Amino acid sequence: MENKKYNIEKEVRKAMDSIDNIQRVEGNPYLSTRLQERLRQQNDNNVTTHSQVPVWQLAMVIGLFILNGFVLVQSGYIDIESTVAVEEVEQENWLVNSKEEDLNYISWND
Amino acid sequence: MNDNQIIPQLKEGNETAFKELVDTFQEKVLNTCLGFVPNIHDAEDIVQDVFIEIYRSIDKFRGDSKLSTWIYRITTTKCLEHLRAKKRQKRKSFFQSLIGMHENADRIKAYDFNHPGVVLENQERTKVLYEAIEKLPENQRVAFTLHKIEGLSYQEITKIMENSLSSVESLMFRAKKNLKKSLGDFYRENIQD
Repeated sequence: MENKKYNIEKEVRKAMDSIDNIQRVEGNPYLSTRLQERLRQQNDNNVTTHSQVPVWQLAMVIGLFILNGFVLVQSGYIDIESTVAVEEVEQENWLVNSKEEDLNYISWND
Repeated sequence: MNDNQIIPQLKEGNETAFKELVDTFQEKVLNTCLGFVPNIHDAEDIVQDVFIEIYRSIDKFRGDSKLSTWIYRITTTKCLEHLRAKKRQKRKSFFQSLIGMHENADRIKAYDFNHPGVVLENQERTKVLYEAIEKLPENQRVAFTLHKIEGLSYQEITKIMENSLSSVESLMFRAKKNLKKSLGDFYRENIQD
């Protein structure tokens, strides 16, 4: 038991001391070239991204408007061909919503 | 070239000055990174990130401290960010393994030990030490690494960590104590009676 405790202390000490035996590692001689290349690439990307983003955004917005209009027309929500005036629509609604006697009155008048 | 000469040139975007800065500091930055992340590939990636950061934020450097202090601060921050990202990745893989999305969570480590400055006969022992360092709280880890691995004085560490001398001394004391305890626990489990 005493022996094990001594061994543990010895190993702990050796492990702690192992840090002093770590040698310095030399740097990479090509690092500055790599860095300059990376910086150049990043700058190029920034320029491309900055010039493309507004065009993309504008195209997307216009595209969405066109698509939206197309869908509305296709679904019959907006009828472009018939240029129905508001009054006519009102009249149509009046006809639809009219009671029977009102309709009789119309036909009687005619 | 001293700080007063090189800093204005760096701020102007002078490539020769930047190359000189890289040549002067890359060994210090690399060895500090290896102190935090003992894997040469990861450490070299962090070194690149450090110098890119220096290039990008040199305008913000006010000259309140030495250039080397500022560079060590960036290096430390980048290393800690890298370690945190690895920990997050490990945690994510662990949760994925719980729901069966990822089967190899146990194999994902913060890093694979690959330190070219450690001789073969010391590898196992140094690896055990690094595993113990990994368990230290961040500020103890920074103080210990900068002092014991990078060989910086307490005075220099106070400037990098923006702490008082007594705090750094206290961090070092606690770091050594925790390391001894952690190593003791490891060898208690791994040494035969």
